[in-house]
Amino acid sequence: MYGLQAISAQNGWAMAVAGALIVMAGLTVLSLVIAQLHKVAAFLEKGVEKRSEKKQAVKTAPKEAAVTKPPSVDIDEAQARLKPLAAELGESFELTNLYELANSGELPHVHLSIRSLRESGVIVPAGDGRFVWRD
Amino acid sequence: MPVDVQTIEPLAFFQGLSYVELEQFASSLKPRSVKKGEVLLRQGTPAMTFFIVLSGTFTVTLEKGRSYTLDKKGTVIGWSTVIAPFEYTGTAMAETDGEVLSISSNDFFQLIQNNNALGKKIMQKIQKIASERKALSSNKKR
Amino acid sequence: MDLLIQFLTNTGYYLLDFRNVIMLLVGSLFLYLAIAKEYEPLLLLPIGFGVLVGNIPFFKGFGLGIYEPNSVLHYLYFGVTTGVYPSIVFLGLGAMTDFSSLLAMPRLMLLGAAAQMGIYFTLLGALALGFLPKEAGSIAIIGGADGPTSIFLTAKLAPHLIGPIAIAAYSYMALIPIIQPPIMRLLTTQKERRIHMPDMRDVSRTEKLLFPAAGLILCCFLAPASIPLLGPFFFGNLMKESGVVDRLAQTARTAIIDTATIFLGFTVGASTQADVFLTPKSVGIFFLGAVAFSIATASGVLFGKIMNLFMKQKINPLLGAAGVSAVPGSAREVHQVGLQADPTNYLLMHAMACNSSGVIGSAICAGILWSFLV
Repeated sequence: MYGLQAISAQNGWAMAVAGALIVMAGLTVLSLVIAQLHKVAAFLEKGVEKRSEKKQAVKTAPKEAAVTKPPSVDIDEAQARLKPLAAELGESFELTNLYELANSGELPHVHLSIRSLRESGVIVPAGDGRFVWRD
Repeated sequence: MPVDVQTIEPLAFFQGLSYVELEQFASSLKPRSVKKGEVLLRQGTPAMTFFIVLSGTFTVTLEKGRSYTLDKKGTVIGWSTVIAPFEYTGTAMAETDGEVLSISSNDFFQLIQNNNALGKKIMQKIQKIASERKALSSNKKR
Repeated sequence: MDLLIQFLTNTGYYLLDFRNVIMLLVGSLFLYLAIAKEYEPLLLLPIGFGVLVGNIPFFKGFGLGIYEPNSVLHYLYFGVTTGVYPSIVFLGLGAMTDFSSLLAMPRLMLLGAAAQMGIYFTLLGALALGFLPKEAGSIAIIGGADGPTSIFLTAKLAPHLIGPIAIAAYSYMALIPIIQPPIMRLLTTQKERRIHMPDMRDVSRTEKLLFPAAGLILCCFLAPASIPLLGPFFFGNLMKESGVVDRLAQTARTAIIDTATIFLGFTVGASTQADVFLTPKSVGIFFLGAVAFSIATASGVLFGKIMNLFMKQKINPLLGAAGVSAVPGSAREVHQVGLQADPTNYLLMHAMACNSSGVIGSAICAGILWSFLV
């Protein structure tokens, strides 16, 4: 069988038309998608940029914290707040016990207060890890 | 023997190319020693290769007996490989022993297929050289 | 004495017939075209030498010939008959192709699609000439102008035609400089040939990374039968663009593709034994191959002209000829014809975009034909 008869008998017309349409449609869709790729790329690059900016900010943040000064503590006020608690613990006490007692009483800046009192010589070491209150 | 990037980097034609682009171009170039009297390319033959002069003096003879000498390092001979008329417009012969780098048109187009950005830069350079050549030949005609 | 006579009757001189001589001349012609004229030497030299090797007469049954099991050539031919070599070649092609031009101007992809019409016209022509459907499908794919794709599909549909189809495909690819320019000039006016294309924008690395993924999914979901070709193709491209496996990409586009090309060309050439190749069918295949290339070129160019009816920014219709996926030959021809019309009109980068889309288009067509004809 030859000629147009052969083409029709073997379903040639359908194969040719269908094949041509499929490849045209496929590449058209691909071209439409890649025409938008630059927008997707820009979106992804923006996301990456934001994430890297965040990382940079986190890296620089601890340095800024080191630079800021801690809040100042009034020694007299600290004495007034903590002396009664120290008296409850006895003549000599451990600093951790005083710290826990002050925290349970929800006093502000407990650690800073105790440190300030130690530095100013109000709380002095008594030996064996214990401290005494000196008026 | 492969061509070193350092060999081509200082040449005028390769100015503006990044190190990676120079590496890619260098890998396609073939060094060739040329003896005095050797003909590099003949007028009227299909232009399939272009050459970059590294050393030596070359005479290019055009139609009607006109000729000029090329001895500057980095000069390109055989531009018709990539621009019209795609056949050599002159005959280039070595006046002295020398050395050239050659690249075939197949390798050149393969290079562009591999790196479109490099291809764009090269084609812009070629466009500039082609327009300079045109201006030069129209001046000579006057 | 008997031993000597037996030896002499087994020599190639004794077994030579005129068909071997014809094929040896064909092989020599290919070698001449490759070496002296530098027509596609990477393809024609292995094929040409393979034709010489395959047509040296030998005593059948010794396990020497490419079609004899347990012969060395038969083992090497395995990569052709199973489609392994074409897949490997596509891996290397993907690793050496830069899709920036195509990504910068996606509408050029339509020209690559249009150029595949040559395949379907050839399918009709082959059926009309009395070829069986599977044979017609294998012949039609020559119109895709892609050697590995032609070999891949023929190995699946009509393995007995691998030799003539491969020779036809590669021969016409080498003859692109002769086939295409007259058709381009015939179908375009001087004014159309002088249309300048706009400069291409720069394409980001992210786009080049997204493309192989998008291409793989869209193309292979549409035509899963093209996975053996497009899967490695986009994989190779991703390796190239990722920048993190440069060593692998470099190997894929050099050593691996070169190895596959050597064995593919050599064994395909060797498979063109005179008794298999010199048949009336081969004449029909060569004739249809020329028709396929011509129609592919014409349909690409004509589609470019049709696009210009609807587009504000005109495209140069010569670019349609570059949709024929003979990379980079057809892009080079378009560039040359464009420059001959206007020495300031550099179409090469745009032509490369059409070329790349043609490769994808022909692989999809191979998948479609395989699924129709299996």
